Amino acid sequence: MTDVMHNFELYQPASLADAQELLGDHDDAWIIAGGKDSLDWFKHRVKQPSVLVDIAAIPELHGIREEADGGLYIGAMTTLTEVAESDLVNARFPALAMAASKVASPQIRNAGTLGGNVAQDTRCTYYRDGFPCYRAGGNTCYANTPTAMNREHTLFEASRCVAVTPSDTGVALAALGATFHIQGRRRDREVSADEFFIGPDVDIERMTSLEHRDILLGIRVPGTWAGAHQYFEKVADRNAWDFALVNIAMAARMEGGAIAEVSMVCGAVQCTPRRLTDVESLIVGETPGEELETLVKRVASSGAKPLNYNHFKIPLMENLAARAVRSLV
Amino acid sequence: MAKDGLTEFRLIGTRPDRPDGLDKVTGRARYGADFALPGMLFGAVVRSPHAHARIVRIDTSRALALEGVKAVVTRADLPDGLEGEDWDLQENTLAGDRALYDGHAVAAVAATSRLLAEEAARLIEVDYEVLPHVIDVDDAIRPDAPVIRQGAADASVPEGMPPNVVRYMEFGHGDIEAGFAEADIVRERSYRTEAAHQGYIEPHACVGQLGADGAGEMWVCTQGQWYIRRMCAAVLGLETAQLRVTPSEIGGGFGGKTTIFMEPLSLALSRKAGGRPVKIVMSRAEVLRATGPTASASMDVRIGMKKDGTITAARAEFRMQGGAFPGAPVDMALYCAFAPYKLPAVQHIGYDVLANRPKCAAYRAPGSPMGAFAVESLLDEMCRELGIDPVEMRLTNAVREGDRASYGPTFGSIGLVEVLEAAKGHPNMAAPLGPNQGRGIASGYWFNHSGETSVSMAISEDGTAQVSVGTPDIGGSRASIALMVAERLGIPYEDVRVNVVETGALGVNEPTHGSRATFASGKAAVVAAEQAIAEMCRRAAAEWGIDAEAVEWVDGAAQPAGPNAGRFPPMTIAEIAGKMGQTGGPISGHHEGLPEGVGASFGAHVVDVEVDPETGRVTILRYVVVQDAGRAIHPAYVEGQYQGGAVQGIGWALNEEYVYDDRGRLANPAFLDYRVPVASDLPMIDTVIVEVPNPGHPYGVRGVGETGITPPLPAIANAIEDAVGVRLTHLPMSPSKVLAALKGRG
Ligand SMILES: Cc1cc2nc3c(=O)[nH]c(=O)nc-3n(C[C@H](O)[C@H](O)[C@H](O)COP(=O)(O)OP(=O)(O)OC[C@H]3O[C@@H](n4cnc5c(N)ncnc54)[C@H](O)[C@@H]3O)c2cc1C
Repeated sequence: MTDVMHNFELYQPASLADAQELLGDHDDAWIIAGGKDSLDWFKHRVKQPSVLVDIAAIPELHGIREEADGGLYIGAMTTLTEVAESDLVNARFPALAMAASKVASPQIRNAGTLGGNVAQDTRCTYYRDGFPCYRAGGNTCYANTPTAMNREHTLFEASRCVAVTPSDTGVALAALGATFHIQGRRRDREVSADEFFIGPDVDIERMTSLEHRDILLGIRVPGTWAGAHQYFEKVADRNAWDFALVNIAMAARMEGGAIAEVSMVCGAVQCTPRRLTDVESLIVGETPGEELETLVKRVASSGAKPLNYNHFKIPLMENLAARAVRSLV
Repeated sequence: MAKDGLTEFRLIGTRPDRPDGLDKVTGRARYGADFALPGMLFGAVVRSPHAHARIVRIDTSRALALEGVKAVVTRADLPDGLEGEDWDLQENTLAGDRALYDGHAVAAVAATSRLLAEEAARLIEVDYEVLPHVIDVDDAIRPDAPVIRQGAADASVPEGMPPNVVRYMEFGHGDIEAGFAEADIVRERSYRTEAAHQGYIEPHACVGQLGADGAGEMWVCTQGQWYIRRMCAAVLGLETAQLRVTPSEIGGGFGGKTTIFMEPLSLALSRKAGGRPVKIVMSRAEVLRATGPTASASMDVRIGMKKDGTITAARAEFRMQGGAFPGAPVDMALYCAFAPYKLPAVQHIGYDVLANRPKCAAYRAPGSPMGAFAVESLLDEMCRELGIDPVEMRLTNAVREGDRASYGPTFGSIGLVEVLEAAKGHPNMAAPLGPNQGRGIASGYWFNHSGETSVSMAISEDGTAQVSVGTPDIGGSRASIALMVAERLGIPYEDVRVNVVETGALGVNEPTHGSRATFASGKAAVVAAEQAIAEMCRRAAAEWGIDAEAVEWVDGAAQPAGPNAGRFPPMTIAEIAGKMGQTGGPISGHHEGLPEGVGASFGAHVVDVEVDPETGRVTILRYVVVQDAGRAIHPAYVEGQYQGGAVQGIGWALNEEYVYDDRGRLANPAFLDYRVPVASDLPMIDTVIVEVPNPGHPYGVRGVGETGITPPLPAIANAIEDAVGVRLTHLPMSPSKVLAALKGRG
């Protein structure tokens, strides 16, 4: 744990083709966007790639474009500040704008990118401290022992590893049905949030389906929820400069006072953004109100398996789900 | 402009810019890490990743083989035979046969660049044999706890106490049992506070240079250059006067920069590297893991109260761990705990307990916030039970001048009643409260301190004045001292320059701690100015050919008085100074000693919070600090101290804590998750300066730096109970704890 990074080679390609070539030439090349997650790893010397590929100068990765279906395509290098302040995003997808505005601090949002935010690594302190845990290729989890500190860890779907997704925007994007546009070694692909964010049961050493030589080009938010009622809330210890204890995003449409369609996702409770399908199916067709909130609280966290120090996340999650529903009144 | 009886002050009580302000906002001020010398090397420190481990072997050969590495230092390079506190300092500087906490320095290396030094540190191989460790104070005090150090207990510890108890105290007065018997209700509760760090923005930084002849220099950010000098000399076995220590500007200290950490290492490395200067700058993680946070505390309090709010008896038993060395501020916590109350009977018991954590250092009113958290929380709970107004209860029991303090001495002039009356009358007390909103009140106390002080002042050729003080300026003391000296000399504030000087320039000064700079250096500076005035009167008298006694100093000029009044025109300071080369040489003043007449400072805080019962988040809605300053020399900096103290207390109350994992490693050594409050967490902190002048200071100063951190801890807990009806007894009161408490109730 120092403040001094190791030596590395820095490349700053100006085109996607050059970036791909560099990634192909160097097996341990590390893509760097705003650097807000990457630099911490280097400063702490837990990860020491010998080559950095800075993708900031690639024009295709920047900007927010309108799509024919009423959705938006947001380049991976778009900063969180740009996302939070964009009129288009605010008009169509306020949950995403709000999520971006709640990330970290203004300074970090000015440098940090949307692509980097969804691709960032988990915050488990044991893992980040360089412990040889499962996620680091070892054969134990230090956070899931009877006496370990795990206040910020999972309620659901732990599989050896109990680390949670740290991304605020990921939760909003998942709720909005976004797809992730990736350029791979051979071909481009576009995957849903379900496929983009991966749990330890799929691959314990990665948080996303991005592999070496994959460049996230942009994120497509479809028109599905454009202009619909949206909600985002993040609870952290501080008002700023802090990761979520639990966050929630919701998009919904009302018809005649009842909930016609809804999508609800919670973050920081499992390794990937968690779709609250039980809540969704419970509330579709129902009228928001105190009664419904009580029922929502009953199912929101069903199946939760708290660890020693994170029992509080259960009421927190239940209350946030109820609050999201309350916002529809 | 303030008035003292009939005296009207010209400058005291005004708010000019601080003399260091422009330098600081333009980047011209030089902080610890800004200093550089030709040929300078960079140091890095190898630290233990274990909470407790035997050091089996240290192999430095690979590091030394690296091109550009100039020196490596281990404990074997430090002299043997130290005892007591000096041994503790040396052991904390570099571990001996055992590493005693996560982050404990084990070796240090100097190289031609910082990167190289870090690389070399990584190449130093240390074999550890991990030993059982203990972190929590209640675990550490158990008879079967891992023993941190045999024979560390001092004579105060009775036979048969658990092995990690190193100091024990028991004191009080009155018949405690009779007092409890007399009470209408007696309540007892247990409380816990976690270790907090001062959180100064500037990490520790120094440049040290030491020759083979034992003569050395150091440039360092510190609150006390003489302390650095003495401690480095002791740890390295040097002659104290051979070391010269110059303090830089300082980016906060709050008590944490009154002792040594890596400073002796830079000197030791320099000596081994042939006298080349060595710079060491800590990373934030090093600051959090291996400097001196405050102690953590486990406390039991029992109080007896009559229905009318009169306290009949009180008892406190505090257990504190201050790391692997003696020195937890349990004594001061006990002294302050009941200080605002006049008690017929009181008993204090304290345990200083060792644990595998860094050696605690002073932190703003050391000990006082913890004790206040326990006592002020319990009193509030009892007021609630009896239906008594918490301010009235505090007034009923308030200590006044001449009362015996809970910890023994008799109070001189104090302003607690005035503070409580001012709090009672503050508009916030009448602000309406909505659902889930609550109001909390608590008192706080700090003794304030004087200590070794040496100040020189001299008149320049043009009649301006320079003052040399030994107390680094953390909170605006240069401005305050300049105001006082200018007031006395009768010259403009801008004509006085106050310099914080190096150890070679004055006799020994204690650090800027204990809220002492404006009191002690200020008092000495005024005495020195008076000496210079007397000399200037003599010079004028000689010129006029009259008796010096017949000259008085008015508005910056000597003026004939008594029978000579009006015989000569006044002679200004500039005129006298312009001629001093012909009239007897330099005109100066000097005062040193242990300035007497310290004035204690009481405060009361009123906070309104809103608790979100669904998230557990506590939002501070309104906050007011009321505190007795004695006299506010520069009110803006007094307010700054009040606000800063409150903010640190709010952080400690709501979020800040040292979190250790099950292996005894600090889990949050960064500002991201060691959570000091950020601007958006806080409302504007309102301040009320009460002025009950301290008769022991020429302008009535009491010292204002510390009391302010004490009341927030209990005031916020009291407000939370007022808002949502749950009583939190374990800090920090973060969303997870509040939510768990609400859930437990519901
Ligand atoms: C103090 C602090 C507080 C924070 N608080 C929050 C918070 O509250 N909420 C939150 O969500 N986040 C928070 N973060 C995380 C921060 O928001 C993210 O780290 C940031 O958004 C990452 O963006 P970046 O562009 O800086 O990523 P980088 O560090 O450049 O990249 C992060 C990762 O993504 C990969 N990557 C980036 N772009 C691409 C791409 N186009 N294709 C393929 N791979 C890519 C990189 O290789 C790297 O592995 C915080 C970070 C810090 C340091």
